[in-house]
Amino acid sequence: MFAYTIRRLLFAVPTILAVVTICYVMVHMTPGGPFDLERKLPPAVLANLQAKYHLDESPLQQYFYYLGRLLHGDLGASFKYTDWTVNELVAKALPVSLAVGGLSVPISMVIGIAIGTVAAVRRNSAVDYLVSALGNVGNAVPSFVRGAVVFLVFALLLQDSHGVGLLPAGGWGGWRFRVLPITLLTIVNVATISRVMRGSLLEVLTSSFIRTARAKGLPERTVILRHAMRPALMPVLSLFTSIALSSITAAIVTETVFSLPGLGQLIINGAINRDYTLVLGLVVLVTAIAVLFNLIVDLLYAVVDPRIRY
Amino acid sequence: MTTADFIYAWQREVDPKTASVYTILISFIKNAKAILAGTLPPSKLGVRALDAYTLEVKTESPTPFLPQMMSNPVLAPVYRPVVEQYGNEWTKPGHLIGNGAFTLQYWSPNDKLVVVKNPLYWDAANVVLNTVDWIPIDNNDTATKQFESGQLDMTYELPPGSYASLKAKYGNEVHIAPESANFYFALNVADPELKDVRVREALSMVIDRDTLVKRILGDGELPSADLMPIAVDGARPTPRDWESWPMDKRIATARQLLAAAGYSVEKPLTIRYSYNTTDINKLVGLYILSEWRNKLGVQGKMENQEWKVFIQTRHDGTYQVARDGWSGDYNDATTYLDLVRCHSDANDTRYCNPKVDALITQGSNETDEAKRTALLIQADQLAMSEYPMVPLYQRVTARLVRSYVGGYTDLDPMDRVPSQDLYIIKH
Repeated sequence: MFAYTIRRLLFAVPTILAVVTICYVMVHMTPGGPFDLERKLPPAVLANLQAKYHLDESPLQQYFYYLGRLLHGDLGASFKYTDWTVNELVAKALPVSLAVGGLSVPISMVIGIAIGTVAAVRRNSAVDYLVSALGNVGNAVPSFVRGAVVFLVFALLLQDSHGVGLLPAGGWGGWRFRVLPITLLTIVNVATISRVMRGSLLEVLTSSFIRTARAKGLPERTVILRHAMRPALMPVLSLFTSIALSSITAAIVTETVFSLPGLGQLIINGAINRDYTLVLGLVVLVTAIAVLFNLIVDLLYAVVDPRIRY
Repeated sequence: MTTADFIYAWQREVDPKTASVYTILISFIKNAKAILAGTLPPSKLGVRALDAYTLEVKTESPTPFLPQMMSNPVLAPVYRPVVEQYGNEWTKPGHLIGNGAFTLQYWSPNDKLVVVKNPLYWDAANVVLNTVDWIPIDNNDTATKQFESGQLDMTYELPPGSYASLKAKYGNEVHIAPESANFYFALNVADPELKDVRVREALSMVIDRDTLVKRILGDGELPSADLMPIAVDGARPTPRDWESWPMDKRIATARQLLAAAGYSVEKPLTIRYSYNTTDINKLVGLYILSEWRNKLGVQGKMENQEWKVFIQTRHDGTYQVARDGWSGDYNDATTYLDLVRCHSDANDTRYCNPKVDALITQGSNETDEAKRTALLIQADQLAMSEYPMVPLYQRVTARLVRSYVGGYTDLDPMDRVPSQDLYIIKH
């Protein structure tokens, strides 16, 4: 397994390189540039700006210049946040996204797996219907609507005598600022995870080895927890990477609704402002996180399924 | 702080190596344009220290708004040792040295910027607030929610279309004031269909601007058929003759103008309206195109573009009619006349009339205030008689301010609200 891990990590390098290259081409092909402003810039100023950011060089020269800096861990200077480097911006935004999305993922996993399991075991019971209904609501109602509802209840209706809401309607600070965004992200994640867990466990429960376990006279609790849960977790594990990535690096709606200074805000602003270095830097980061999570998931497969060995 | 700090700051700003993107204000100082273009060294900037506390500033032309402009942050003094010591990091908390009423304590992009009272400020005795938190919020809905939940004392803007409901709920906490800013449709005068001034006049004449601001927008905007906002020094808007006519007469006249230009029911005028994607731009576009269709039989098409693409379209002149608007860079009519001056960086309509340019130059060189104003008004009138744009309304500053925030006034058309003038009333 050690050799496999090393091999996978080495393979991450060409993966990131390929993604950066494709993204580099796409970003530079997008019409409009970072210095297209409401008032046209005088040609001399524009020339100086382009020289400052190496935009006066050929696309190939710029690409290799960028890669050279990247190899040194330098994501370059932001075009829009002119006083900040992309490294600094990421260093400020990543902890926010981890504190919200990063915390939501394990919470969602625990709750989603638990209620998915209960729904499968008590199939067609009131509990099952309730879980399905909540799951549908969680998936079908858009984030900005859920955001408006929790805002109405916790920030506007529940106010103290000074007119200050029980929980803040947005912004960033201590734990009070995290409750609503984490709750919102968790609702949608739980909806997805519980549905997949329920379906997967139901399928496993019809397998021959479960019949064998029951035939041996094992208590139902042991059948579920020891024999059925592990294989049933495989599809949920497959979901892990996409859920973790969408919660940590692309919780754009949640971050906008709550005005959180996380990665989602940077991605949006980077794209709108044609902040080439910021967009590329975030792509590198997201790719690295995706590669890492995929590796973790693959290693967990081996833990969960005894048939998989690396 | 001495005059050397100003001279250093200004020479640094015009130095092409600094590559400043906002050099409009400094350009009024003698030689600034040549220095920015790289033909003169920064040391040739028209500013000189008469002694440690007296500065002599020479301008390219008489600049009556120079004293007012001096309070703009882009002309603030810069402390040379921090720039030399910290390079790009000189604006960060702990490094930034200023001479204002507050000092920078904390700054994190998209999160917040915190300033605290500067005990060394010359007028510190009259500064009341100890701390001011500036919270950057992209979304006006989110900002309004934060105000409603008691987190903010003041917002920057109201969400579009929310004025009436917020006014009903918060009364005097909703502030509306005329702003030095306008909203118009730019007409590409190089376009084959719009190069005829009669067509452009007809398009402007039939729009019911009162209905637009009262029924469609409803956030306190002021209808306007002129380029010049009311809230700007150095000129005033001139109403068009037809503004006082009944709408029927306006429509009949506009139809005649279109007919004279060769358009009819069989050969209708077609218009393509380009705009950057926002709800307001779409709403205004739908209204104006429906006015043109219902009153003149004009066939309209709407084309929305992402912001940077749109900006490029407008600069390149690859549009017919485009959403446009201008916020004055400084409080003087010339910032608006820049929109109609031949080949100006702000002129996207391709309109060019040397007589207008001559009037602007003549006015700018005039030292008598009344004569200057008269010349600039003439320039505006001449340009607007040729309709390079369809002015629609003047924008307003609309925001929520808690009743316990003292010292807030709606008086500055440039919308500068110095924190040192504000205080919190016991509540």
